[in-house]
Amino acid sequence: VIGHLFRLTWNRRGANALLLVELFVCFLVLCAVLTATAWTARNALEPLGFEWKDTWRIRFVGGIVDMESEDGEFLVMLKRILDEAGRMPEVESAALVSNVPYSGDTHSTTSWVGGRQTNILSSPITIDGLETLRLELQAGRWFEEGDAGLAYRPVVLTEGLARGWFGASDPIGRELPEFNDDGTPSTPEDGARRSRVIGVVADYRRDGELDATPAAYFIPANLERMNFATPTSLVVRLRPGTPASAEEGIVRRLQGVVPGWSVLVEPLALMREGRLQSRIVPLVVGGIVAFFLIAMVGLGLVGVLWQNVARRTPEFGVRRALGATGRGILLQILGEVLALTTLAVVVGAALVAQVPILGLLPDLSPVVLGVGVLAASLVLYLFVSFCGLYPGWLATRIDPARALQYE
Amino acid sequence: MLTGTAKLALKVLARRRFFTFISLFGIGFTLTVLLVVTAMLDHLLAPGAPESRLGRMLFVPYILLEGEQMRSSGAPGYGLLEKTARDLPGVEATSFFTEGQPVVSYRGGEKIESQLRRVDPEYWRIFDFAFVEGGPTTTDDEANAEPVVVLTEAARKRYFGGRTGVVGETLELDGRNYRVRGVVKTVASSRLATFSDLWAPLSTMQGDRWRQELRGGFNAVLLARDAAAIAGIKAEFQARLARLDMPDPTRFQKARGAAITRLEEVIRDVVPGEPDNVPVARGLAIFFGGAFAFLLLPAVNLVNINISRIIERSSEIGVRKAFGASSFDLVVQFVAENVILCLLGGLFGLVGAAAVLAWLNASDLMPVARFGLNFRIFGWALVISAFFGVLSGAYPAWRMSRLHPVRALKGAAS
Repeated sequence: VIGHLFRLTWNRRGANALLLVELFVCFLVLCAVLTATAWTARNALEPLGFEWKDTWRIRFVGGIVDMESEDGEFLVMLKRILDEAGRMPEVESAALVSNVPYSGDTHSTTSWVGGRQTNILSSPITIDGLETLRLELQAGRWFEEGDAGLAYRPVVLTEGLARGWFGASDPIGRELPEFNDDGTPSTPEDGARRSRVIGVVADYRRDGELDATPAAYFIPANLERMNFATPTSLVVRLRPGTPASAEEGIVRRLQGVVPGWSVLVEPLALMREGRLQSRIVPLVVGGIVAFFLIAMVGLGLVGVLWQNVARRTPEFGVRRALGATGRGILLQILGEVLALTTLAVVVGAALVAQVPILGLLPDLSPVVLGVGVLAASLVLYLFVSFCGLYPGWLATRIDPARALQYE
Repeated sequence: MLTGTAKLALKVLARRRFFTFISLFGIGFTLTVLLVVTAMLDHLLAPGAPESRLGRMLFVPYILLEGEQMRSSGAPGYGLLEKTARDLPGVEATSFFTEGQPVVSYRGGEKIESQLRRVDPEYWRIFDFAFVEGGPTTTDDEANAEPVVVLTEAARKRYFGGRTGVVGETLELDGRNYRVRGVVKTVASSRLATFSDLWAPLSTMQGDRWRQELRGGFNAVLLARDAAAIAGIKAEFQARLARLDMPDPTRFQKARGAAITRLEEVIRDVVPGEPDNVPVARGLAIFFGGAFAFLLLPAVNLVNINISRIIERSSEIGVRKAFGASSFDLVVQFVAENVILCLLGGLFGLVGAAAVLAWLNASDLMPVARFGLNFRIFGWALVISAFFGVLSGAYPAWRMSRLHPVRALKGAAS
């Protein structure tokens, strides 16, 4: 029977070609929206790796300072700010950090992980940072006073990056791999101070709940000389229950330390809201546009099927006269349009399958894409069946005697 | 003849209301989406107060410093602009100003966050701000580093409640008191060089290191004598940048960048390119290609509906052909009908776009959004609707016109 449906579809290929194009494009639109939704939902299930409650980011924006200058003005200021913040009664813990959660500021380096060039967040952080951000130490140790005297540069990896570089083997004490520009392992110069893993923390998903998990590592903050390891923001963890009105006093005290600079306080809770909104708004807008596009195609489909039924009245009349039931006619109409849908889904799925095959979106796991494609197929089948019901029902009401006189 | 076609088209539309509804729904929705995007781009790209002379302006929002080991990119510094963008030939006026920087105040325990730009006195001559109170900061203010400030009406409301007549009063920013010089009409956030809440003289900035910096925090506007001078100004800026002496060649050896128009500035944000060369053609191709791709699905949908309506009109076609109408006559008639349908849909699209934009302005999704429709956008609506009408009408019209009169009269379509 199914083969017969496809043959019927093929016989009317001229009329069906445009319908097929429409269903195909619809399928792609559904795939895009549903895959993005599935991706976001999948991300939301992962743990964050830090705690945003009761923390503020404090930035200092001032006379425009050349960040790479070595005259130390900025460094002196950073140290005094950190001291001052640590002494405040409302503050439980304070740290200087780059790549602050939800900030979008990016301090990164490129390297190779699993044969792929990858951006790795390289976050300088002061010793109290573990407690301030409540990172979860999983193995090894965190930075300590006196690490500067070590013969190697200590590094704390996130779980995902440790797995990417060292697989299942124990990363503690291993040296960070180095690569040539083409991704082949390189041999470091003799005598160079190498980086060595001293600990592993849980994945640090600083872009928040709805974003992908970035590869990241932490390095000790350098406050002696301005360089890539000098952090730029202060993060403070307040004692639970500190009222919002404490902000003015804290800002005024810090302003005393750095006159002429703007002291900007943003609760991480607010930054988080902004970040989540910036993820959800495009999904909602995309969803609304897709909904209207598909509603439009659906209405068009009802119209076309309706006309088809009218045009094929004699054919259905003959079938009824030869003993076909109304149910049979309805199933035929639905079957034909679903056969067409199947064709669109198969072509569309083959096209979408190129995305993982060609490695176009490396952050998108094939499983999530698969869920998106399956959901899109399901929605399209249900929707098309729904659109076929009314025209199909009209066809069942054709009276054979009158249909045969048609023309 | 045109009124005849229009009358006939409206008759046909009224005959099958369901199909007319489907068509108008699709066209109206499609046009709504495209017009909302068009309106947003129009507000970014079209001249309008305080950037009324945008057509003659060039900006330097981005430069790249390259060294052997380091790269530093972003807004240029004052030092670099002073050496490369001052007194270019063909330029009528030049101004250097900072990007908006956040400043904080507390008023009765409540926090007020605003954007502050620091600007030189030329800024107020190049951009035509509408002052509702007082006036701009002056050359004397700049020379004496007077802590004075110009604010928008929206900022006046935040700092002084509902009061007017605030010139000469002080407000505290980052623990420092500024005296109000003037109040201007609030600027929409789509005005990239003039959007801010507060403006103060450059010299109120802390220290004077910034006068030497190559990178960080600044932008320049170059007002050309006329549009024809723009190409020459761009070339001269590029030449000076290439000759620029780098103060510390161990860090950076080369500066790259360009003086660019607003269109180039907007495209640069969307399409990655070289720092000294904005891929304008590619940017436009992406935009128009995207709009065309978005039109395709609705167009195919309308083509489908039109084709399946052939049957309904086959006797009409047969009669007209039998009485000597040529295929071409019929094609013209059907395409014209479809264009009229699309123009009607375009009207719905305009209403829909107006509603969406009004909602955007009212919501806080974008800061100080001032979107609206104007005659340019109305013109675009006409163009897009007509294009859509031809795109979706041509193929069905051709199919209809091919019908053989005898078969058509018998009612056998396609």
